[in-house]
Amino acid sequence: MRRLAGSAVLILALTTGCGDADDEDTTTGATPNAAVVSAAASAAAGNVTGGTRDVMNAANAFLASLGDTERAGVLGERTTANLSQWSNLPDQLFKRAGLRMDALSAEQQGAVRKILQAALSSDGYAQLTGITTGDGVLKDSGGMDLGFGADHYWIRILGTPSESEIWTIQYGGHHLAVNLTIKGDVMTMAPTLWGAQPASYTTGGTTVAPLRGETDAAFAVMDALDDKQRDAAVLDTAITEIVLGAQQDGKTLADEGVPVSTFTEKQKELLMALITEWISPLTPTQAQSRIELAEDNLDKTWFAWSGDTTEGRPVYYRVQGPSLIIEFAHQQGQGANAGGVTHIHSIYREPGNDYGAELS
Amino acid sequence: MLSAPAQSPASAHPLDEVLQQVYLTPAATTLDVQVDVVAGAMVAPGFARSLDTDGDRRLSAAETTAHDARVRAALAVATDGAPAELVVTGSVYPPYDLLAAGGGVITVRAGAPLSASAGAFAVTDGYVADQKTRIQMSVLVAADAGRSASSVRRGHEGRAIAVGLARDAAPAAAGTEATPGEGTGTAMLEALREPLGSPWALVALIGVCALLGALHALTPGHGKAMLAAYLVGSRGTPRQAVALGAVVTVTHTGSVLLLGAAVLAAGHYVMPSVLVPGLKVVTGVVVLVLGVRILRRRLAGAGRRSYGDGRGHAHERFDADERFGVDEAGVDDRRSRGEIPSRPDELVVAHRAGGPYLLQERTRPAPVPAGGGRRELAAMGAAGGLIPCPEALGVLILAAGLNRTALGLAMIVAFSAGLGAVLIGLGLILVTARDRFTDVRPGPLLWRLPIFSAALVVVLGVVMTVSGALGMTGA
Repeated sequence: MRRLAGSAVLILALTTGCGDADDEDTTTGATPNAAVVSAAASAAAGNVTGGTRDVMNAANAFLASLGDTERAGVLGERTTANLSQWSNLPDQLFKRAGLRMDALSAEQQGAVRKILQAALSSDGYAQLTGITTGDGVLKDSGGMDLGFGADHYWIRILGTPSESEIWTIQYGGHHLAVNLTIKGDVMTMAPTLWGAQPASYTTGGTTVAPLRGETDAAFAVMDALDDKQRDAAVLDTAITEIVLGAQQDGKTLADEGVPVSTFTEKQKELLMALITEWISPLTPTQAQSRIELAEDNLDKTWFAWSGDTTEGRPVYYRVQGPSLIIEFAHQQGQGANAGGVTHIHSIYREPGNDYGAELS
Repeated sequence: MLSAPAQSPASAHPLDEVLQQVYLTPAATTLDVQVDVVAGAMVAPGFARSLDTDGDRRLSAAETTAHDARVRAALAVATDGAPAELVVTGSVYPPYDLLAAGGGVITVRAGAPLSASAGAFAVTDGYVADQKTRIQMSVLVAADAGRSASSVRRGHEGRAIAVGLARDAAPAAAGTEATPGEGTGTAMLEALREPLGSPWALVALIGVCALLGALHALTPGHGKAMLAAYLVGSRGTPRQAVALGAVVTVTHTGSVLLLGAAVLAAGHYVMPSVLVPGLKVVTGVVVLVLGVRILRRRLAGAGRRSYGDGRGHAHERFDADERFGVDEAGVDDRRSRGEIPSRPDELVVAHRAGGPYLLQERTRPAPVPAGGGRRELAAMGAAGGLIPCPEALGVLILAAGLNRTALGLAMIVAFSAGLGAVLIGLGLILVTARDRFTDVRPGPLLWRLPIFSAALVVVLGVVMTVSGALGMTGA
């Protein structure tokens, strides 16, 4: 029953089509409803993708559009050092490698977007562009400029795009680090950092909140817990920042919070909806198996919470199980660029499977 | 909407604070500590200046070392309630300019001993920068450590954490409740999981197991105090020391095999947590009975000796004379060479006893009567080896679980042999040293040493019996 419900959520969220290359400029928001509307429209257009072959073809097309120097700059070996060279920090505070979008031609930028559209669901791509567009909003708002903006995102390919060998696409910059590792017809996005600042903004008359779904679904879980479960879920002292962020590869957190094994069926469905939010950036083909894996491991999964229990206040939550670790920290700061509850750091990892370690 | 009282608000953004993330990993035999310090962009300039004590906008080795010491001094670690020594093992610092801009992470690594049998640890962190400072301590899971956190409690705004430890499910699934031992046992368990590349690797593994057994014998336990007390109390000979060690080895190996086989065959009914305390009780009673027997014999012997009863000492005197090869004149010669004490009171005692009894008593221990001695020795050796090492038991059970039972058996035999070799060696050293000791330091305390040792055997027997009984009742 729960699996059927989870699948239904997944189908609604993921039967998506990729928008065309101009989507980044016409983002309509990544709220759950917006995502579903977008997904439905895309599905109706028959644009469903998700095969890793499509991703490989898109990557090769992008590489073919580059000159030798550019190609050498964007390609790298799949070494531990290269794989871990990402951060949530802006460019002045962290040295990235690869090619930055603002250094590419419009055609090359379009080729990069096609890679991302092939690798991600419509929901995932909308989330990504919502974050990058938001960084432009942040830059335009003034304050400290430490090297960020909508076009300050880097593409890098580690390994050689291949039908059989393992290879990784990295796309990231300020508040974003997407690591997509592919081997054969399997793809993982662990680890991927999703951030947002501002957490919500308005552009073209539309409110965009790239991580609203991950916020609302978590509050729904917390709201459904009884007092005893909530007491167990809430951590003793405040956690304000994600624990397994950049440079913390290969780590596995000890179980904390409330065990999901104590949840009712309804509570488990709500948690699966939250987990689906986190996995839905993958294409339906890739997401389905991971959602089923998470569902199979629900009784070994834990849910932890820190901070207020009303929306609009700083919160931190964690979902951890054998197949995934999710951390989400919505922070409140002071000073330039950091007023109000408007700044999110979050991470998705799979224990033991950073950069597809289990695929190697 | 939720009505629960709000937790302490997560109010600060890393931009305006120094954040110290502390990663605590209970590994196989250590607590690994990683401290990451990040200064938010708004406070980073001041934080960087606080480290750059000479103001040259570079972080020298002296300055980073000083900060390492600050980080270390702020941390206090306790395992099972006892303070543990934390040692810094390395650190990495970003360039000064990057740190001052709010980029880069300072990483300090440290480690503290955490025995495989530890049930809990606690850490407090008093690190304070000049800027607003927040501490986040987190517990990680180490791959193949065989244990992980069973409970995590935090306090003092994240500056204190108490972690309960539990063995991982893998060994339990194999049907044992035996705890992994100190480092040696864990090393064997890890080695058991590794494939053997060649016959030489097997030879090396067996050798390493023997060495681990030898090292393990030097850790507390294994009845060393009891065996030592017995050897002294019974005035054991080198041959008896060897025999005792051998019996302990054989018994220990046998008990591991038998208990391991029982657990594997009927894990639901044979619980090591009950059996081991039961064996302790049996051992304690055996030791207690033997201790009482030896004590009674020693007390009787002491009574005869104290009042100068020469009966039964002819053999001793013969041995003494034979050993030294001297008569009264010869004794005088040795005294003149300093080999025999020349204190007037000793001479008086000797003459008062009607002969060099004092000299004879201290130079030749009375042998244990042959028949009863063998039985005593066998019983004491069996008692010493009856309680199996949890780590050896774990190796056997894991070996069966991994379908490598033969290898596990070989490892246990090697482990027990190494352990026995050390016990034999210690026994030989003990009886030899005792003889040398008695050559040069005679006196009332010395000749009462066997009595004290026999009494110690009795006490140890009582302690083991009570301990085993408490273990059985779960107290």
